[in-house]
Amino acid sequence: MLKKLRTRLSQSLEDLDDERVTQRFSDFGAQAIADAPTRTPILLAGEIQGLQVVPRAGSPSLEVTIGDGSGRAIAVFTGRRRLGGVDCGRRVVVQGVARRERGRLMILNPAYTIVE
Amino acid sequence: MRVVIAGAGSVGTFIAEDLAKAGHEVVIVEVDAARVESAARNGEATAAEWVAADACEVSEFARAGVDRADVVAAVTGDDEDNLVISLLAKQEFGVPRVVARVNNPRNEWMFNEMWGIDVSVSTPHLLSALVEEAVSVGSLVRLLSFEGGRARLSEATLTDESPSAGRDIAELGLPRDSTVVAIIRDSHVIVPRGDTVLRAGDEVLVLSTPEAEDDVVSTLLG
Repeated sequence: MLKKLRTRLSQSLEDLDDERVTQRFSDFGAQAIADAPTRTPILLAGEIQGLQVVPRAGSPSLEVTIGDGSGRAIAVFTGRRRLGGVDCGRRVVVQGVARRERGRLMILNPAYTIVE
Repeated sequence: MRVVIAGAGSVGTFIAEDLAKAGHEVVIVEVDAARVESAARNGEATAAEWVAADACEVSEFARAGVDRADVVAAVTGDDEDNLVISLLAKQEFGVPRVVARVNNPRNEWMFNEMWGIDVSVSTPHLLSALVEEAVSVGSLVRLLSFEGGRARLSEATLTDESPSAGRDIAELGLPRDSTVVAIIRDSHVIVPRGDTVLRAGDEVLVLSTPEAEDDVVSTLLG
């Protein structure tokens, strides 16, 4: 009990937050982002932690950062500035094929479900 | 490398043979089963593996082992098909490098990252660039573009009047986003260094961003 309290007090804010997010997504049967394989269909669940509109080849793309406590993935929606319901803090499940680009895990135009 | 080529026309068959000869693992995907059969009968590109499948259809395209491919080349004679194949390769199979052929130069503007294409090749544009390169002296000719147009390889042939002739590369003060990658002089390739002196008649190959291009022209050619 005391030991648990001590770890909770000594953990960094980031670790605590990761732990909170992990608990939030433990029941989806999704892969952990940190060990998600590339180039094969995957299902990831996570919290939207960032939205960014990035120009790609002259057209806007919406880059959605999704975190599940183990790591982060970026869902890229080409030709979009925003998607209804996709906002920071929302829970989403995305399905697609990931690849590594400049050290980031990217999923191009995945199927997505907003969970809450 | 594992290369999947979509389209077994003359372009596809030729590059398949070429790449197989260079020791790569090549797969040709062709929608027309009769074409695949006739190729087998005539012994075309035998070093490559032939798959009769519609590359525009995810489940069929998967049969060619695209999920393990390092490169996909969409070289059919139909620009719409090439766009669909490229997008599928990138989106559904995460292929690291997607190369697409542009048949009609009017469609070239679509062949970019939005459709999952890393490199587009347009034969008419390449031809016009090469013709231009052969006839023009004293102007900058664009040969290739990379990274979706963010970097260009251009060539300039220097004349006696060029302000850069007779000066070394370091003192030219080329813009930051540009670099001289090679100099061709009397059919020899010279690796440029800061103290390399340019001469009239040199073909100077420059890699630059589109923004830096104007400065490169004025520095090299005046």
